[in-house]
Amino acid sequence: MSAIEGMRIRGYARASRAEMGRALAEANASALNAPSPNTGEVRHTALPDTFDGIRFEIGRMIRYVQDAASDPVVARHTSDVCNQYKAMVASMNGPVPSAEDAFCVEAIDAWCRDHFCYVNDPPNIEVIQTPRRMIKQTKIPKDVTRFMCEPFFDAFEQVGIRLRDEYVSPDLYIGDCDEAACAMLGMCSTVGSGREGSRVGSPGVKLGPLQYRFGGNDGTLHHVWSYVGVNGGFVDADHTEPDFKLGDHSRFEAFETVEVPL
Amino acid sequence: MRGLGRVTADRVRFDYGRLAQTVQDTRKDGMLIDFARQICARFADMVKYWSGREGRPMAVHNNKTLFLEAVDIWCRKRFCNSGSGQWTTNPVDVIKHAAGPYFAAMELDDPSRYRMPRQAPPPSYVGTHEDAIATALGLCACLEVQPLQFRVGLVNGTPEHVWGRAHADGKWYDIDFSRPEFKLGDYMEFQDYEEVEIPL
Repeated sequence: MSAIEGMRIRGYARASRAEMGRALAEANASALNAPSPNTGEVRHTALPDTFDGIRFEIGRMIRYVQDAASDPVVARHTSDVCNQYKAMVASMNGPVPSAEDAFCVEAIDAWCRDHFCYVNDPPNIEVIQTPRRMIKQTKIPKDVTRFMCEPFFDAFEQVGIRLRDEYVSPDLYIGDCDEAACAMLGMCSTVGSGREGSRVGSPGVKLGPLQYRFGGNDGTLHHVWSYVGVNGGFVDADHTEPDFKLGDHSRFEAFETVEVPL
Repeated sequence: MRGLGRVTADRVRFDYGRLAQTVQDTRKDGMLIDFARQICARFADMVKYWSGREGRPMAVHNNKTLFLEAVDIWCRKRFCNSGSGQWTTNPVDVIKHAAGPYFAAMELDDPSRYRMPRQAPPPSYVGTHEDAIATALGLCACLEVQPLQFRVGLVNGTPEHVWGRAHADGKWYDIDFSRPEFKLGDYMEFQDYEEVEIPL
């Protein structure tokens, strides 16, 4: 049985701010040209516990977003999300201006927030999935997830709680902060790209620049979220805290950003 | 041999190195990481649903105790009960059976088009208790439920039985599948105990 598409595993290095700054500066220029993993492909990469490892990881996160921009699975899905959101808003507030970029960010952010489940990576391992893979996770049929979770229904029944007939498993994608940011930016990268299924709003609608934003305290940077250019400004989208909304992010002493060249 | 079957009772020392290697290998295995994420996220959502329905909503966000409970329940149900399927001594075979349709669906560009065929019953796990525990601890490690230990029960200074311990949200929990009536936190009583830290 082949396992997973787009899951990259490596030793994790905790970067100092200075190291991270160098890593970010060099990530764009580094020759991390291997394409994203294909369906069913898992790559394991052992990396040094230095800023070279960080640079590699960021480079791969950038590449995953770049590849998502031309991925029809990501583009079609993003188009559906934005169009459904636009229709919902229109039904409540009337027509949405066709040149309005912001509704795309709101739509993608709302969808990600509704479907993302935060978990930590294993100790000393960094797992990164492609946006394509995370979107596919949300389309798993209910009977498949139910089959996998059958022991839980039995356990609940043993203590008199019958969930089998009433509980509906949600559509989820699961990961830590870098996967949350990667999924958000990957979906944003398809808006206005002109690729199949990616026409959202007017032809002129385009989100960008797209950036990863890093934050940390005590001389380290240890958290990442997405930072999306829209209408000439930027908006933070951090999906790792359940109470956050678009524009919120965790408070840190230090911040750095790196742009995804598209 | 039924269900968990063989609980090691010989007087040779347990091969902690091999068991620890199983834990370490599990946490590096993409299929098992994905499986651990799936079952724990979904168990947490079930608890959220049920607790909300009862009017006592529980915080499930990255709740490591719930993740540990998910792994414990899943493994206890599948490794300790005799199934009607084929026998296996490899705990991962049992996981592959449960996760097979998930990975088959993920092979498609649109997994929603996957139609799950009729599934065979889960394999009956007839391997050792120690291998089952090591696999369960490995699944815990996939969710960063740590630190992890093997705990050894001693009689007259001799190791008689080994099980697992996991630390979640500030508390240690014993994981012992050797008795069907046990649940998370239960373990067999011995004269003395030793703990062996599992490096991750």
